[in-house]
Amino acid sequence: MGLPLLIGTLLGSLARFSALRVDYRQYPSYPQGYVIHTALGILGAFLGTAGPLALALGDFTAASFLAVAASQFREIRDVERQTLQALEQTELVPRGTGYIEGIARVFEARNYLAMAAGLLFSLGYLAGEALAAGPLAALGERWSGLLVGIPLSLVAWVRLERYTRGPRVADLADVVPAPIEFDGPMLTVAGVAVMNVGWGPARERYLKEGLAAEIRPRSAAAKATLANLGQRQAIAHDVMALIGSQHDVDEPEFTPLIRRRADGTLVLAILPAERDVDAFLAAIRQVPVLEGSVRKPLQSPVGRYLKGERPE
Amino acid sequence: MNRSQNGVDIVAVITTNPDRAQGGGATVLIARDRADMEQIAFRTAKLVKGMVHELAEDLWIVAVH
Repeated sequence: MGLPLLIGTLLGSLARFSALRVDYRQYPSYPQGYVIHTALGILGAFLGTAGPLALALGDFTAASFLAVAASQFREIRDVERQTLQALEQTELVPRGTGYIEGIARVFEARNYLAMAAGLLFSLGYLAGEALAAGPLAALGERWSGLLVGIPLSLVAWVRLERYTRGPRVADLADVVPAPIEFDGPMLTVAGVAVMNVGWGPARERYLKEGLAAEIRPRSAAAKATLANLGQRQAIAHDVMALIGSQHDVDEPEFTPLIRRRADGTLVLAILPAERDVDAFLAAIRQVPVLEGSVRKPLQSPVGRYLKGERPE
Repeated sequence: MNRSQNGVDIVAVITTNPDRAQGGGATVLIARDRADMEQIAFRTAKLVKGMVHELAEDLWIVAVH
């Protein structure tokens, strides 16, 4: 059983490693982060692979280790959450608890990805071995096991990774540029009063260097999702992380705020480090839609009334 | 100060017209003219890491969010 265990663990670990990306979130794109998550990924892949193999050998207690693994992985979510929450106080524009929760979930889910790749490999291997008695007899047990196991594991890897990627703001809404205006001291974007800027020079800087956008949801469900405060904070954080901000701790007037109009349109005004409208809009569009903010009210019985349907 | 409403503290009221501000939670600072008001508001805001808000032409507040 040494060979399938080795290959399954390897496949699962690779699946986990490929999901560790270096990106603007700067997390966990540090060596320590890589080591932590690769180590846990290898462990998950090993446990996933070992489960079915142990069962095949008639060792039922070994399979219960899968349950232990699952509770281990739940702790990953806690660890991620605590780290990000501790860092929150050092952020000029915080991620917000909604975003942190989303990131923590992704880390947990990606460990299950490693486990699933290992699990499906060993299941496939066992199935291949069984097939060697029949249609795949020409290959022998070992080769037919690998022939079934490896593709199955790769399919699980690709499908799961694609499935867990999730939608972006661009999938829910149209993002268009908007002018910044002042109604007295009120910073106004597309008719929405965003904040009261009393300090004259700050107003001038907004007019000269500021950028603003409207985020127009395409459906009622998108409206409800984007209204979520965690989702809005995630947009503000990501945009400032990507295009840079001029503001400092003693200049709260330049904190990016997202406000909502009665029709569900969100508006955002910022003072970017680099004034590039296209980069600004692209930054908003790529913000991930947080799992915890997704609402689909129209799919409920009440929502069907809103769509104009009437039950008999 | 420290009348926390939703995490917002009104730290100071700056006005050129003393009739418009009565004693209350926040310090009332009387400015001589508009330039003086701007200076006081800006310096107070920097000091407390707060923000200047204009309630009326001659009545400003500094709030910490």
